[in-house]
Amino acid sequence: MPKSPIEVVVIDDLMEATAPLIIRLRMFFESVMLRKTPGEGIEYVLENLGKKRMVVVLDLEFFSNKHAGHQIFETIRKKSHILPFVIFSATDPSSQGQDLTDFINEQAFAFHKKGTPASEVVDTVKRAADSLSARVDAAIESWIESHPPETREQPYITTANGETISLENILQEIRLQTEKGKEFERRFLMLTVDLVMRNIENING
Amino acid sequence: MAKQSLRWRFDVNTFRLLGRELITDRVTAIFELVKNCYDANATKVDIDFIDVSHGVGTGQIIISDNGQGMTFEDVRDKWMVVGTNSKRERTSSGSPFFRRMVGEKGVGRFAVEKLGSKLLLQSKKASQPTQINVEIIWDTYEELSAQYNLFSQEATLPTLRKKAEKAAIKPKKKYFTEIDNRYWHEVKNNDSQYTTLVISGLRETWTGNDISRVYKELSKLISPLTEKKEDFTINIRAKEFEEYKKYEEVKNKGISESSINFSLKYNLENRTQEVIKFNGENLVVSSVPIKKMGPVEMALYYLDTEAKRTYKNLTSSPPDGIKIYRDNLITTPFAEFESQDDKKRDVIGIDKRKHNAFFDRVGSRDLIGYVAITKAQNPEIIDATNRQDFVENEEYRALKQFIIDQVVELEKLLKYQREASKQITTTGLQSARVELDAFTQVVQQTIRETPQLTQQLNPLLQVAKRVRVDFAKGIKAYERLEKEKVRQENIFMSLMSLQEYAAQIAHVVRTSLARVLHLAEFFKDFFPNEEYNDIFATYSKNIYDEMMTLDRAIEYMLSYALADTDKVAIDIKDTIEGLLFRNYKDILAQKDIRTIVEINKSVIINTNERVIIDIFENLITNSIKALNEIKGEKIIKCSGSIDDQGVNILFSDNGKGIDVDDYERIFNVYYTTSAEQGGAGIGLFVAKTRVESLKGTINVVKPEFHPQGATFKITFPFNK
Repeated sequence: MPKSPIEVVVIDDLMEATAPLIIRLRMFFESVMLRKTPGEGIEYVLENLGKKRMVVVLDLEFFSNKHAGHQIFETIRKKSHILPFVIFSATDPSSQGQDLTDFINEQAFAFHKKGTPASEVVDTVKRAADSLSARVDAAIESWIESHPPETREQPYITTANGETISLENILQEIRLQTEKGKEFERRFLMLTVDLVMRNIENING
Repeated sequence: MAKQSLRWRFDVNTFRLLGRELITDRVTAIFELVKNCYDANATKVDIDFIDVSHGVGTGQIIISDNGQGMTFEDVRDKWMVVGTNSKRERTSSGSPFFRRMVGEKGVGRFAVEKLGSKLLLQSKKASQPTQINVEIIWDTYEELSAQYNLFSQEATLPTLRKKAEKAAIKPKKKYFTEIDNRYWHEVKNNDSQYTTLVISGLRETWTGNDISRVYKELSKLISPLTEKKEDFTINIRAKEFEEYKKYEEVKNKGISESSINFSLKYNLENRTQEVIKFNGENLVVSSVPIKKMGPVEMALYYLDTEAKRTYKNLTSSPPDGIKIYRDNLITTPFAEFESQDDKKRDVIGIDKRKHNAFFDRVGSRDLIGYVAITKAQNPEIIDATNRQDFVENEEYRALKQFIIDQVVELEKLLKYQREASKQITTTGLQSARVELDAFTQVVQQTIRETPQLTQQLNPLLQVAKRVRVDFAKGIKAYERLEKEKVRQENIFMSLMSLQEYAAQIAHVVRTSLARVLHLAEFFKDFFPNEEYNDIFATYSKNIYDEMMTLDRAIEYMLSYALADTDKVAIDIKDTIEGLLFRNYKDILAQKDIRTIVEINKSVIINTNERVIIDIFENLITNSIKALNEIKGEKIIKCSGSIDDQGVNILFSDNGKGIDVDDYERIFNVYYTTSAEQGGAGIGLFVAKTRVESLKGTINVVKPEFHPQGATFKITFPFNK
């Protein structure tokens, strides 16, 4: 079975490059990156936001900062709502002082306790990668990213009220899941369904 | 295109926002209105509660003062202008009292809305022949607000909408400022001056207890600290209730029953502030430079059990902590009503410190205090918008710290007194036993010398013997109790530091277990497989290492569970190295912290190992936190030496350091400068109490890595 082209970025201060989880992930993914500090993790993900399709595996608590996991998540979510996160923590989610509402509200993909078998975590990462391929927003994102940057900046659509929108604008709206972005996705889906239906008609005719 | 302009408008709901929602409760509402009387130079305020117990929507509250009154223009241009800033521009109430204005946000008058649905304002100035009357019917605002909602897009009840349409109510939105309020003049032709607020259609039913609450809160209004007594009396009458049948003057009943008290002043010429210090036997007043928040006056009363009982009998409420007055008027806690005394807000943070009696802490239920500040001398202490506290800034923090520092000195005296009385009890018991023995001997001697008295004296001797046995039992029981108390305190201390590490240990154990699980899982799923042979070799070693880590963590946990009070010879060098190079190895490596231990092998203390570990563990975690944000090389250094007095240990780091002002209080429980890193203010407290339990001392000294970092000096004296 060919390996998935989607990159897995693991951000965890206690993970080693030879750890079973990394070795297992490498069995299914072409590229698995390990970043051991919050700063390096954020930097790597943001730098590659337009360039690669990624799934992030994130440790919640770092020795340097108990809240680092939340901060990393928040920082990246400000730039992209599409990126799936698999959250990983040594602390029980039901334990006192452990607030996970930000992950729920901002739709992290899954949450695992540290004791979860590596095979289960790998399965979750695989599902996250699959979702990335199946999601309309992710599909539009990668389609827009396939255009050279100068093309993305040019006006692409003119709306009924005379506003011109570039592909780059659309990308931003979709990544941040704004009303405009969601509306664009809805219309895009309707258009696709419409086109498919017509084609079927033609075929039948 | 030409630029046009836009204006703010106020939704009709504004009245609710200003009255009901900004003023948190009805006692505060009355308080606000009385404050306005004070600002108007009134010398007398009468508050009348009429038929207030007959249910919502009935009854009246009348607040009348003999202040300077208002003209029509005053009402139009000041009283009825929201947020009017006349009091901010003019900070004194003017002749004859030149009071500091206390209402300054221009919203206090909306407190009437909190109390009732209708207001009649009557006011007259001495120089004017007429009285101005204004009628405000809050229900009009309420109705308009409700009507508009029917037509709003959110309205989902079509029948209601139809009803409104049928009634031909125009869906035109009205704004707060567009509603007309009736006013008229009445000719009086005298030179009286007053303002009266007649509030009717009361929003809540009042009970005798509620009226007492108003009385109690109003009594705190004026600072008892000011020498110049305010010519300002408040009278309350509520004919329905026995104790308020006639006008009852509100008085600050004051405190005469405290067991310890002191008051502090300041000297503006020398720029000095009085503070209290415990000198080892007593509290003495000394002068220090004026602190950041400016000069303050303070009086503090401590009430012991008996004093509290007397106080409670007099006031029918327990002591209620420390209150801050600005320009003679109370500011915080701000006439806030909380029926359960325990829930009263502790803005100064006195009770936050009182975790347990073990800590020799006093709480706001043991204290009554008055702190006086002024707007002129303490301009940076700023009222918070909710009027229940001050804006949290450096000056306010300094003020709170100042108050707590005084309380801490008081606590030192109390602790000293407790210990002294314990000594007296023990020695008293011992000497009584000696006297009893002497008595028995005398009786026995008498019997020997005068055998004929044997019959008479024998019963006495028997009783004395019995008493002696009971006495011995009593003394033993007392000693056992004392010992038990010490043991409980020890367990408690251990638990406190355990709490600090429990989370960290859980993290380590969970991480290790998860690693072992993943390693073993890999074997289960893939063994044997030529491709992974190297990995299998690495993983088996990893499993071994992880098991060792787990074993150490469990050993570490177990050491807490063991009630080891036995003294053993402890090599300080081994203990510290063990901690640094074993237990904290991973964290120190993670954080890139270099450790230096320079202790002679022969530094050995005969003591309880747990105590020594507690001391250094707390110092290490403290240093790790201090080094967190340091760029460049991070060092923890521990050096030791012996002189003829004892063992001296210097424990240093080159972290963020300790403010000179904090040298003393850094050891106080719950005092922390690293709250954001999870510091709870317990570590150094535990370290200090542990050091002291070994009769040693711990101090902050000039940092070894000067100008950076911190150094603690620990001295264990030789047992002479």
